[in-house]
Amino acid sequence: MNNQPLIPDRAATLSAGKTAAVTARTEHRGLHRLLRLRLSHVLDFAFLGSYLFVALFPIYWIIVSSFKTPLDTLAIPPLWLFKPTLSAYQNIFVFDNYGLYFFNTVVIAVGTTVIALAFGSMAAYALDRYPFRFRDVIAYALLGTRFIFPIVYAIPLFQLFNKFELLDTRVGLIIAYTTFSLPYAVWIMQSFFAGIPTDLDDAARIDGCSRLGAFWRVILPISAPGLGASAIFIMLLAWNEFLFALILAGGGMSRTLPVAASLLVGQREIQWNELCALATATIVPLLVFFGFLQKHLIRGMVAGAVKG
Amino acid sequence: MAVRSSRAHGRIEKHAWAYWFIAPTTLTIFLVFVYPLAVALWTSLHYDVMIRPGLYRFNGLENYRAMLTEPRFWSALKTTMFFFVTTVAVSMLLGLAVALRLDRNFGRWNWIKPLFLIPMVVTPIVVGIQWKFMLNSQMGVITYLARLLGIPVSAWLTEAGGAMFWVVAVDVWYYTPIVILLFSAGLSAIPGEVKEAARVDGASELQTIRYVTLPMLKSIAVTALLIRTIGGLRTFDTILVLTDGGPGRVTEVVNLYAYRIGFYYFDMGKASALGWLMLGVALALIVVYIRLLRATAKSYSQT
Repeated sequence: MNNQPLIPDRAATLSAGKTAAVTARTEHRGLHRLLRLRLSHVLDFAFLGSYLFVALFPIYWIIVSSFKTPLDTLAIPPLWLFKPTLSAYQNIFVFDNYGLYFFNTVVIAVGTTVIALAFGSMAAYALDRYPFRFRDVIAYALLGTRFIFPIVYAIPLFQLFNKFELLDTRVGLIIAYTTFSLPYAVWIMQSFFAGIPTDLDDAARIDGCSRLGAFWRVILPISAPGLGASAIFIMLLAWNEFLFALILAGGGMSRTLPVAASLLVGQREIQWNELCALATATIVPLLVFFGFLQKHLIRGMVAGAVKG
Repeated sequence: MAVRSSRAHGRIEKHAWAYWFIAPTTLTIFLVFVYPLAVALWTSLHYDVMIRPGLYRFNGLENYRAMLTEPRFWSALKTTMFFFVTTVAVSMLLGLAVALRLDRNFGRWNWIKPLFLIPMVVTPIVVGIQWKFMLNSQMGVITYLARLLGIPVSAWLTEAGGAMFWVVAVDVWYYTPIVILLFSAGLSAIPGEVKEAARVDGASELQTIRYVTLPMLKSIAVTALLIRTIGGLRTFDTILVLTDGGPGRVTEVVNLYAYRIGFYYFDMGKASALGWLMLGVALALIVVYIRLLRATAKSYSQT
């Protein structure tokens, strides 16, 4: 202030005024911002917290209820605290066949994944490296397969499987599942291969590898993350698949967990604790997988959804 | 390296591998996709009812005509439209809101973020089961809480309004996570400098979202919309478990109706015809989606 000339020129006054005004505004905003920040945090907590609660509670509830006695499940008001029992699990796994259905589901999921990845990654590699003339057609065709409602080809598959005695077989289901697993495998792996420079292929081939050798020994190991992501995604799809399992295997010996659960729920007198136990058995492997592999799963899902 | 006997031989060799590589996939797709679709078309042109094999005969477009004049078809179509518009709208908005609020570094609490995605991992049938359990008119948790709050509830899954409401709500519960996932991916692709620049220019948070963030989310929004639409039209498992199309036909979507025709009435011909009609809808969707994609791509190049 001592430096100020006695008669300040207009520009200086203006700039000084402006500085003062900005300072005032910033100070005001500083306090304001502090208060606003707190409020937005609180709102976030409320909004996100209630969303998370709604998202997770049903899962928690069904897992907890699987440890109740039949009487406890019917209690009004619903019981939060009770004496847990494994009777429901005993009933379905020891005294009944649901262990077999669990096994079916595992076998079919793994089988589908293996085939989809084996066929799909090879096709994706060829599509990426080789200038097919109909590459665009194939891309659109793959996209198109996702649009077609499964019921459309589930019915003829049923008729065909009926004729070739593939109904109620695990192999049959694996074949049917390729309708959705193959396109996803090709889709996801194609975007991964596009990111691998062709120098690697060339180097391998100069060293004497055939195309298949280069693919098997060099490219595939490098695309392990992509394979991992696709594998998890496809396994999830195959595990949860219901329509094909219902139509092509139904209540037979090759039935999968989702179908088994739907049959239990369709009964007139539902044994809720057993139903909850079956439901829990169906989703717990998925939740465990999700817990350990969510990064890969998420990568697979995003890659499967977004093109390129 | 082996000496090639002739140039031509070398050229064929050079290309053959690609065809071998795509052979298994192409063959499988043909067997389980193209061929069944053709069979479906063929079946749709016949009277083909499984429990009446003796009456099998060609009847041209009769199945299609019957379907298009069947009131149950049109009510199923209306139900499907209402259902999917509602569930897509709600889950897109909700998913966007959650993704926007999650687009922040929570530091120590970052492990919470993946938890929001858990519902989409649950088997759809189990989703139906858990909600059916919670909405049970006698001992369901939600029923109990609703009654505590004074809402008169009897058996809402068997009442028209309640059934529709819950079918949509459950679908939203299941599908919103994928929307959150996609929008989060899109949001993380927006460089921080852009938002910083907006803040330096004096924009409030709401303004930043409206004029900066949202426009940059356009293409991922189209993808999310597409995925959500396909999912909404395909919903089958949850509806089957929750209401089985009921009460009456209130929640019977086209998917469910087609399944009924084929595996309750065993009329394969009509079911195949309905399937091919649905194919037409799917084709229309593809066209719309491609147009939308091109439009958003163009708006980017114009910026």
